[in-house]
Amino acid sequence: MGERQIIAFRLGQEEYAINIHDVKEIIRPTAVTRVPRTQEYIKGVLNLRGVVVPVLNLHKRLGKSEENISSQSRFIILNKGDIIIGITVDNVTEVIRLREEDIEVPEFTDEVDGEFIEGVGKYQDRLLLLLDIEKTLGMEKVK
Amino acid sequence: MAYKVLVVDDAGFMRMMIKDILSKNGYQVVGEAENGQKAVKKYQELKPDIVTMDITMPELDGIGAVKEIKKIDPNARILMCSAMGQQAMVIDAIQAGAKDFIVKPFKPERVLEAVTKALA
Amino acid sequence: MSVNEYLNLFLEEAREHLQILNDELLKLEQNPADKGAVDEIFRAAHTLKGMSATMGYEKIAELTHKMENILDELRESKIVFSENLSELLFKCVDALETMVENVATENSEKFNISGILNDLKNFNQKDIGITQNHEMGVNNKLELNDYDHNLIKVAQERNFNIYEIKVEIAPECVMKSVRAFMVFNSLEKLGEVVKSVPPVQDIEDEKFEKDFIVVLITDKTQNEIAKVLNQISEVEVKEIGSLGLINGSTPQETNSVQEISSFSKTEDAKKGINNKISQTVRVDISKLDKLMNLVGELVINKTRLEQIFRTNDLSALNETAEQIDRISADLQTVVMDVRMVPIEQVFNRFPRMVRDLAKELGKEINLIMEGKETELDRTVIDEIADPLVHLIRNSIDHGIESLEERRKKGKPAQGTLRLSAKQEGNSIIILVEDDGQGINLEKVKSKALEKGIITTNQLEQMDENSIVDLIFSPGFSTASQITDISGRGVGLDVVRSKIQSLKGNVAVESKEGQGSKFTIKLPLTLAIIQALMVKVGPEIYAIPLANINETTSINLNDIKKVQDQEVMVLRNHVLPLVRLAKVLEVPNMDNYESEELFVVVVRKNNKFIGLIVNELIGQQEIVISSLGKFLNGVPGIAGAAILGDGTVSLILDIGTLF
Repeated sequence: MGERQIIAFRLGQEEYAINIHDVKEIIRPTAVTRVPRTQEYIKGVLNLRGVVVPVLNLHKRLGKSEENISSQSRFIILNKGDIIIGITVDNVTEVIRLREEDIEVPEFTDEVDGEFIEGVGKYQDRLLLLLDIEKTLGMEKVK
Repeated sequence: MAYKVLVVDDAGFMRMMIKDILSKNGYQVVGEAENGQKAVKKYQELKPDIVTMDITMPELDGIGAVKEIKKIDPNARILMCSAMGQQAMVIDAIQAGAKDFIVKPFKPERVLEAVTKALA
Repeated sequence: MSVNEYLNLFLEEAREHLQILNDELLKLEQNPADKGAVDEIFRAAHTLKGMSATMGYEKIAELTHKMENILDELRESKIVFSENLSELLFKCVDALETMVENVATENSEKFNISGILNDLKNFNQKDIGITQNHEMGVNNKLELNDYDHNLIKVAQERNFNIYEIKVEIAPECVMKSVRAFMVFNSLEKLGEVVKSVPPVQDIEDEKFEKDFIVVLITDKTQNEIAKVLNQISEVEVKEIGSLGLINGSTPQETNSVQEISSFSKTEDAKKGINNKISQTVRVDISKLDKLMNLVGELVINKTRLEQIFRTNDLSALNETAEQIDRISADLQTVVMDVRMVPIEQVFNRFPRMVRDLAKELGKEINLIMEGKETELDRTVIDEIADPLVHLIRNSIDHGIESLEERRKKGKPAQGTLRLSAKQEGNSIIILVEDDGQGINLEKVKSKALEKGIITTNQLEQMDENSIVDLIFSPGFSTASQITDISGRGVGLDVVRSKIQSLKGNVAVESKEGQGSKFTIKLPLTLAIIQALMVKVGPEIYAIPLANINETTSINLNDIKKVQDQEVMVLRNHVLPLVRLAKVLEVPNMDNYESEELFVVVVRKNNKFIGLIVNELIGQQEIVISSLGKFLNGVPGIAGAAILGDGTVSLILDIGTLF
């Protein structure tokens, strides 16, 4: 069985992770312009070296408390399919090689963010919630 | 009575070829002309049912001849005989009132088909 | 029928033509400007080609055909007669002579022409720039744009039939484009061809396999159409089917293309994979050189920046920053320039169209075209053709009078239609002018009242210009029959909405009895627009200048309410007001209350509306960026622009804002 490289980050109390292949880059928060008439979890758009990129407020999307802005806050810029989009995180922790056998697909009963999680990775004594990016971005709907 | 045909082409060889095809199939070639001007004159004299008209000819070319003949007889049926690569001229001829066209080198069946359709 | 019967006649005439070729070539050598000689040579080669092909002497036919190509270039003065060319042509004649004599003695050409064909080919490539740059794709899918949808919708409302006709041209046909032309010619007598796949231009250029699809609006039946088309040789009507109801989806959802899946019988149309032909632009190599130079400069400056980083030399930093500023401005200009193509591409199809229409209507029209070299953004060029066709048809049909009428009025029998394009600052102005009867104000008035576009009260307050402008109103159409030339029974409102979608505008001036003038104003490019930057609370928005009529200031106390609608009085007219902060849901507006506000008067569908903002920042050129696929289609937002300080500002789309 193989392993996958993931980037782990903190959001509130939990630690999440996404596949490194979906990450374009990680930047410090910059000015974001609000876009009216969009979903509440759309934070706005920013200027990434001349390209206008939307930013999704992951806290709101996953039903967390408000963004906890600190010097550790980051925008992770994702590149999924032909969509480039940023997500807000509190803190990027590290890049991890996770063995496939350490990933479990638990049954979420009534957890709020269950629908966006594709599995839980066990790494040392930590539990990493593996984010399903397509579902998080609502890409099924975009298509 | 057989349909009367006027064959116009600057090459005697081509005229003979067309004449041959048509007369073997029951048409009566009543006249020939080797340029546009003569074609117009012969048209007035012979009042054919259909004209086969070459495009590139000295004196008056085929398109000019179509225009002249159409002035004399708006109902004239003219079949253009074109060479490859003369698309633009064929379009001009059709706008001038030609009924149909055939492209050299032509097969006898094509000539007959076009003549039949034009006379229909 | 044996070819031998003709052999002697063939040989005799062939020798004659060879003689002509030799004689005239000699004449041409003496006097290279002798056009008559070129014509003679061309004709001799051409006749020889026809004869030999008929006799089955393919090598003679091929060689004469290749000669013709070069002679044609010579005739059109695309190449000049040189010693080299003379040598080559003589060599060809010698080869022809040998072949003809071989035919005489052995009844076969017996000659290897590959060497000389190669020489001809090399000559062609060396002296004539052969450009082959068209990407071809088999595209059987029918795609309709907003413009087509509008036309079809209106036609449906008026109970006309809309057919999708699939026509196949016999595989042995050698002039497919001419057959296609005859098909179009016949169909246009029956109704209105609104669309074809592939596009007409490609069909004219023979860029199709064996079949093509045409959409026809007509009052005729399928049988009548089939009967007319089947009279054309080498043409077969494969299918005629009704184009089903196009669902009334909103423009945002439709975007620009929509697949018609209701064509009942066409399997191909359904299966059709969308091999969309990618848009290409042919670029002058000098423009690319300029780009290379600028990029080179950029690299040099990058190296300088790295040096400055090591040496901490701040004055050098300033200088380099200025350099980069200049280079990026130049880069922008050149890149924009690359996107520009001359409007000639669109204009070129008009002479024939005008000629055909004039003939059909028994009018005489002199078409004058000016400014064909004016350049427009590629994307605009593609979109502007349909509206222009409409205006030109309109002028010929309704504007220019019949011969008798013109004579009666003491006008020259020949009407004049002037089509011109020019650049004015950052705009392109296209004029369509005629010296026809102009627009009858009284007719417009009664029609507008009759159609319920305006009320008598409103009419009383309108000046002449506003009345003439009513012809652009939705539902106003002077064409009563679909068979009208300009007709399709669709009004000029389609033209206006199309042009507005290109961030431009169209206006009309008319002098009764003397003619009318349509003025189209378009931005030079869609990628860069002039915008007014405004502040709404803490946020900055850009409003395209093309939508703005004027700006004014207002005191909070001067905002009145009429039936819950905020209004103001501007020069004795009541102007409805919209608070941008409200429609854009701007948060924390409490901190931005003030007595003095500003109003941006914009135009939406013939109506003026005042947008209330906090501050006018100023006019600015902005580069439009898309919000990306993820946020596409937010109503009221046309895109985003990156401002000088690096922040992003949104561009308002007045059409969908409220």
